[in-house]
Amino acid sequence: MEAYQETNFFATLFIIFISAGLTNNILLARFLGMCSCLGVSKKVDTSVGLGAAVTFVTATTAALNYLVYYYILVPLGLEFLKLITFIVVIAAFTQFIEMVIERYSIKLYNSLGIFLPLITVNCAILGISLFMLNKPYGFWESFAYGLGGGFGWFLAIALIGGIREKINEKFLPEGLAGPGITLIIIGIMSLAFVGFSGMIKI
Amino acid sequence: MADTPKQIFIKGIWKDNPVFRQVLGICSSLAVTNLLTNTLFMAFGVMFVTAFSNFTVSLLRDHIPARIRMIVQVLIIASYVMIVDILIKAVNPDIHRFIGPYVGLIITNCIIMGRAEAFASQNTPWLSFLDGLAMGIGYSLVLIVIALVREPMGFGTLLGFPLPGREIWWHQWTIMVMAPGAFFMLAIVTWISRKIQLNLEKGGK
Amino acid sequence: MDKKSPSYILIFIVLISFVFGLAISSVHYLTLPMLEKNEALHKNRIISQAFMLDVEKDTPEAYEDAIRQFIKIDSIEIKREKVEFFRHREKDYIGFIFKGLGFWEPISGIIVMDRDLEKIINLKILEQKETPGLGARIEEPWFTEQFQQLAIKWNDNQKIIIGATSNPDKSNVVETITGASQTSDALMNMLNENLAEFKKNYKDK
Repeated sequence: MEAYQETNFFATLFIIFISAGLTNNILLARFLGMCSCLGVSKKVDTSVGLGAAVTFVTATTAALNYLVYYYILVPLGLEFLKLITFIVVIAAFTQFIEMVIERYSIKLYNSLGIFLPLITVNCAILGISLFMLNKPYGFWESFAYGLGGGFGWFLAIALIGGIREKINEKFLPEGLAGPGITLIIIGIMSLAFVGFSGMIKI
Repeated sequence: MADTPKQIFIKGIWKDNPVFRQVLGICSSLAVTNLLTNTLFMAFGVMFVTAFSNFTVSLLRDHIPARIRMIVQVLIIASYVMIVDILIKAVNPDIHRFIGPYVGLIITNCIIMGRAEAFASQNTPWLSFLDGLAMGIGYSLVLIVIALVREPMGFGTLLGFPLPGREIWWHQWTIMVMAPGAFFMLAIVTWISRKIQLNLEKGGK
Repeated sequence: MDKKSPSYILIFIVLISFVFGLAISSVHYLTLPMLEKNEALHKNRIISQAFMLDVEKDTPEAYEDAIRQFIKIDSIEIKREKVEFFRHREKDYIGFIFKGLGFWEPISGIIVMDRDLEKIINLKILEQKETPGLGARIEEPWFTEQFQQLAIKWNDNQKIIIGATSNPDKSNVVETITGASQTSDALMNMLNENLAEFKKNYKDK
C-alpha cells in the first residue's frame, strides 16, 4: 500500500477499479456468479443488460454494506451477523429497485425485470461485499472496488455472449450445445485471465 | 400433478439433474472438485442444507408475501447455514477447520435457492424435503465423478492416498488442479449425459 | 389481512428478520464461551508446535502449562498495532504472529527464529481461508516444514523466497504450491514485510 499513498486519491481509486475488474476478475479468477452467467450469456444484448444491472447493484451494495458494517454492526459488536445482513441488504435493494422501475418505467422493467431475481442469487455481488472487508479500504475505495468487480463481471459476460453469438450450434456435436460449449469457452477464457493475475498488486 | 417420491428422485438424480440439466451450483463445483475428500464434505453439506431449507420454505409458503419471497428464502437459507456453522465451530473446532471454507459456498449455492423457488414454494413440506435430498444427491454424483478424474490427474492420489505405481505413470497435470480443468471436466460430463438423454428420448419415440 | 398490502410485507420482513436474527444471535452468544475456549486451545497448540514444545497430553490444560513453563509472552508495537511476541525461556528462540491478506482472505501464523534473526526455526499457520486443495495446502506439514532451518537474507530485497529464483544460493528458498501461485506470492510478500517491520522494532528494544 505504501507506494500508493503518495499518488493522488483518484489514481488510487482507478488502480483499485482496474485490479478488481481485470487482474482479479471475479468471474474468471474466483468463479463467482457462474450460474446466471451460463444461463443468460446467449446473446450480447441480454448479457450487456444483465451485466449493467449487476455492475450497478454491486457498486451500490458495496457502498451500502460498507456503511452498514462500519457504522451499525461494528459499533454494536454484531460483526458475526455480517453475512446475513449483507444478504438482506442486497436482496432488499434489488427488490426496491424492482419496485421503483416498475412504477416509473414499464419499458425498462420489461427488459430488465427478468434479471432482477437473478441478481439476488448472484454470488458475485455477495462475494464483492465480503472480500471488500478484508482490505484496508475507506468508503470511496470500497465503492471503486464494487464498481470494478461488477465491471469485471460485466466484461466477462459480454465477451462470452459475443463468442456464443458467433457459434453456429448446428455444427456442434449433439449434446454439446448450450452449457457444454459455454463451459469450454469459459475454461479457455479463464486460462487467458490467469495471465493477468498478479499484474497489479494492492 | 404432484410427483411421487420415486419420480422426485429420478428427476433430481437424472432427468432434471441440477448440474447438467438446470446448470445450477456451478461455482461451488469448480472450487471443490480437485480433491475427493473436499468434494464429499461439500456434497454432504449441500444435501443437508437443500433438504432442510426446502422443508422450512415449504412450511412457510402460505405466509410469505410473493413480492419479497426471495429475501425471505435467502434469509432462511443463510440463517440455517450460519446456525449449523456456529454449532459445529463450538462443538468440534477441528472439523470446522476443514469445512469452514465451504460455508460461504453453500450459502451462495444457487441450487438451494433455485429449488426453494421452483419446488418448495409450491409443494408440501415432506415432498420438498425429498426434492431437496434428491437434488443434493444428483449434485453430489456429478461432483464425485469430476473429482474422480481431477484428483488422480492433478495430484496422483485418491482421497489423499497415493495411487499404485504413481512414480511410473503419473506426471502432474497442473491444469487439472486449477479451475480451467474443472470447466473442461464439467463440459465433458454435461456433454456426455445430455447426449445419453437425447438418445434415450429418440429411442422412446 | 391482505398479503399484498405494504403493511403486511413490512411487518412480515421485520418479524422474520427479527426471528432469525435473534436465533443466530442467541446461538452465537450461548456458544461464545466454548468458541473462545476452542480458539485459545488452537492458538496454544499452534504456539507449542511452532516452538516444538513437548506436550504430554492433547488437553487445553497441558498446552497452557507447557506455554506457561517455556514461553514468555510479550507484545511489541509495529505500525501502531500490538503484535504478540514470544520468547523461549530456555532456548534462544523468539517468535511473533504475522498477518496479511492471502489470495482473498486474511492469513495469520506464527514464525519462530533464532535470537540473532539469522534463520527460521519453524513456521505454523494459525488461520487461513484459501481455496481448498490449492492455497489451503499452506498449512500442510510438507510445506511448513520447508521453513525449518531456512536462512533469512536481511540484505536482499526478498529475505525469503517462495518459488523460483535465478540465484544459485538456495538457502532462503522454499518450494511453491503447484496451482496456487497467488497464495504463495501473498504469503511470501507478507512474510518479507512482517519480518522487515519486526526487525526494525525489535532492534529498538
